[in-house]
Amino acid sequence: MQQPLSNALSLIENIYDDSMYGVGDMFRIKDVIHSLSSNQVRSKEWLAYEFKKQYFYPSGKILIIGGWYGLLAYMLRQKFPGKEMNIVSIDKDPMCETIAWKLFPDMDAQFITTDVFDFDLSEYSAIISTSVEHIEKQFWIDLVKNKDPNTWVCLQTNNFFDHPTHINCSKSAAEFTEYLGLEWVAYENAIDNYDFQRFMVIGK
Amino acid sequence: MNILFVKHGDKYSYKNVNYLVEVLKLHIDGNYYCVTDDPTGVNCETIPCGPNLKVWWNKLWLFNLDLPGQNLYFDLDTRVNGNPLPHLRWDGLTLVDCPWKDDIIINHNYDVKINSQVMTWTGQEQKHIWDHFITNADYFMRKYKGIDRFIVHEGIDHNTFSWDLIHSEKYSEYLGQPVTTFEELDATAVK
Repeated sequence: MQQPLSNALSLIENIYDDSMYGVGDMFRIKDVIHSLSSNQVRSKEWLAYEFKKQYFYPSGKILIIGGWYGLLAYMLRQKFPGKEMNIVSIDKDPMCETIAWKLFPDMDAQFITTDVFDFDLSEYSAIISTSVEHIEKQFWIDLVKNKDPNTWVCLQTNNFFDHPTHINCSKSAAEFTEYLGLEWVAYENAIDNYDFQRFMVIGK
Repeated sequence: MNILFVKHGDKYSYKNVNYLVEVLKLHIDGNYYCVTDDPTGVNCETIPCGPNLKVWWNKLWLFNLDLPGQNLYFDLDTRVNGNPLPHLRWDGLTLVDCPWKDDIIINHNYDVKINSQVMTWTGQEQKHIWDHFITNADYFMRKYKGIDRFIVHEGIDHNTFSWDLIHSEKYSEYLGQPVTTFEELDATAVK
């Protein structure tokens, strides 16, 4: 993580410099820092580690929904270093793509600006997201229901109900798993993030 | 004229809506609507909340509603003391001026000197506000603590009402203004 953190410092300086001439968005500084916080790193490391164990194969095509500034793509690339694993990270915010390339300039991944509701989710061997709490529940239910039966899903949510952007939290990992309606659950667990819990489900 | 309210969650109840409907009907003959996630007990026509939004962010959904004519919005922590109509304007989006905030503005906190306790606009002429918000809603909701900051710092054109419309229970002296706001006070302060 040392190089991405070093890249983040350069990026933050550039954003500040831009703001001196009225073209920068100072809130991006805070947002980039949040995206690389210890909680973010820990939850993405947890996902990459557990997903690698379950998925097992070195090849395929991973789609990350709501990939933000690319940390999860980076963590997954550490676990799947070969070119035979394709990693695509999508986010609706157009600045995510720009910032991701500045944080992870040499990474073998695709960053795409798109609304997930307009995106073709077929032909991926795994669909992954740590942003379940930001997208309505019915989207995830439909995703699981309509996906190819062989496509893996690896999803994280939390019980941080009070956050204004969290519209789809769960009370427990079990509740999360139940509404998703997976045919097969390979992994289900929770970790403590200080004042809330993060839940993860992996399955098909 | 359309008179609009937003009730989301449990901070305010249907009683707050019904109070405003009752007292405003003494002065304004119009169509009364409440945008809400729970229409139970509300004594006016209800409209479901917008997609994916919590609490005050639903106020932006108002700009997407297809309601012809003049639109007049009130927050639920508002008291009506008289007829507001002579003090309203309809040329663009109009919000409440907050001169009392002059001393507490911090630029990088995106503080503003207006609030949206009362708003007026016409038809769907402000739909561009919703359209802009929804392009990147999650980021805007992280960046701004509320819609007032979103409106000002995203450069959305707006006017302000004259000071003789609004009295702030917390910050200003009551001089017979027809509307009192209880902004920044506990919900139970609304009488």
